[in-house]
Amino acid sequence: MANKLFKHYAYKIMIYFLVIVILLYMVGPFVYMIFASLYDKRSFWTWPPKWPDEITISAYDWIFKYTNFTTYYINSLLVAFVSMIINLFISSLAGYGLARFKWRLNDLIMKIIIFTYIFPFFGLIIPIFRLFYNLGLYDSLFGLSILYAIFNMPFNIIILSGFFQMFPKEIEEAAKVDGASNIMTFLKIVMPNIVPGIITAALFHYIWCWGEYYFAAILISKDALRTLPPALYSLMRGETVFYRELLAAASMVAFPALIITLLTQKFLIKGLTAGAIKG
Amino acid sequence: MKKIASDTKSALFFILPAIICLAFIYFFPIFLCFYQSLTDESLLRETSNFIGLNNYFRLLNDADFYRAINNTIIWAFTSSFLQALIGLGIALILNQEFKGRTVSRVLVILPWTTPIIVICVLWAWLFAHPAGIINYLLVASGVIGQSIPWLASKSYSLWITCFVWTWSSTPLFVIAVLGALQSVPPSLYDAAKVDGANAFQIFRSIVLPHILPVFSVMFTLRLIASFNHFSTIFFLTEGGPAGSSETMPIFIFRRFWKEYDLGYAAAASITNMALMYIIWSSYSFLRGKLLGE
Repeated sequence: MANKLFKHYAYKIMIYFLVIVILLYMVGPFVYMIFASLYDKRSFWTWPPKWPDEITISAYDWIFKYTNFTTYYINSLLVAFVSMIINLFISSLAGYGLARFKWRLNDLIMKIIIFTYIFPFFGLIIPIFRLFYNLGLYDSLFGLSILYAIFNMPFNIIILSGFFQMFPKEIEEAAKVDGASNIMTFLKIVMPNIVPGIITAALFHYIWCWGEYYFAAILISKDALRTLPPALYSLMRGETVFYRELLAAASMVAFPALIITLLTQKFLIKGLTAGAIKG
Repeated sequence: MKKIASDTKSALFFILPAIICLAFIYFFPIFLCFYQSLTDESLLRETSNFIGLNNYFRLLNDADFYRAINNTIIWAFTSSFLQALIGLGIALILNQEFKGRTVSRVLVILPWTTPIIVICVLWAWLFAHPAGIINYLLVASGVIGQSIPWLASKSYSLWITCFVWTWSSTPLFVIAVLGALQSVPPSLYDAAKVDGANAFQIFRSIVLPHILPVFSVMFTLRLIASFNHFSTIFFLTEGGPAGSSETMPIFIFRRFWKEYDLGYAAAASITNMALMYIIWSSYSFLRGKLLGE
């Protein structure tokens, strides 16, 4: 009996120890980053590392004073929001179409969507750049939003069509018997019932475009239109690296992602699980 | 018959907007990329000529190309294996009963939801030379004699970028495996315990069969994502020093934006895609064999 109890506690202690190791590994660096961004300048640069003399937000002040951080932040939010609306609208139409209608080309379209996933996007850069330049969408936040909306479409179509497939077809057929058209059924009956799917797709889209660097760097040249990732990268590649201020900026970029992860974890985990199982 | 015709029409109505959009950003540019790969187009010249498969022949004689392929294969496979291994380990531990399990499961997603640029700023600072915390800890504990410039070193840069990418993508595996673990009926564990099975036997005959399908899909998806991954390496080392961490995406990027060799870069993109396609189909083939689908 004592032996069994001992085993039980040894097992518990081991589990807690391992969990602490995991959290230190996966979350520790973030905690350290935020903590270090609150150091006063002198303690930050002291070697060997030591506890700060004072906790201050002077690094954050520096960022707002010497860069157009607020502008970048608003631009990023704007692009994320506008592209999300466009993306969700078109993706949910397509996801529904693929999930509901028996169409000869459905398989082919799914294959094409997978193909766009494995195509290295570098090959697309020059043609896209020229296209956008000629259409007057260069140096335009709206242009960037359109690009983000469409670029992430294959992924969201797959996710959403999975959610549409789970919705019982009988309910729709009942609505159609009552004389509702396809579009009415879609808007009034189906959409309200797959809100979790829409939220999941919205989250994935937000997470992706909040960190997107490459297109933002190529399609935007004006400082006033810049989004956060290119701004952060140019700070990082500056002639002198102000690590303390850089960490403050990085913490602010990470902040919305952090909040959203904590608030919407259920949707995220469900979406990821469903996505992985469907492949 | 009439039903099918009306279905096609309805389907078109729903799918067409997406197809038009995808044509605009994907199909049309992919087609242009194919065409470009057959020309000697360059931003340094006014005109360009059709040169057939010459870009592809040039690729076959380019030592940098082989180095990039080599680096990509090492990088992508190492990272995917580590993601799978570490992800599986973390998932198995987070599947146990303990206080704060829900919170821990949420917290481990953070490295994935955080923008890559933030992650690279963070790890560039942790790996900084000489005043980074990792160098400090390693020197203080006597593992290394003196501080190492990790990201500026030919022998380490590839491995460090690989590590950072692995760190930020592991959560995907954790979530996927945790999801699969929840599909194991608890009665199976009880039955196994009654039969006196040890932890390893339970893992082999109950857990493994349940997570294998998810695991294999995830592995391929991560492999493809790793093959095409650009940002981590670009932010941390830009492929340097001396090309030591240059993978295919960085190789293509350099041809585009440093040498303006558009035709050649397009040919490299197409070749890269063909390689990915081979991996994808051999995976589908293997999966059919392994899982008997």
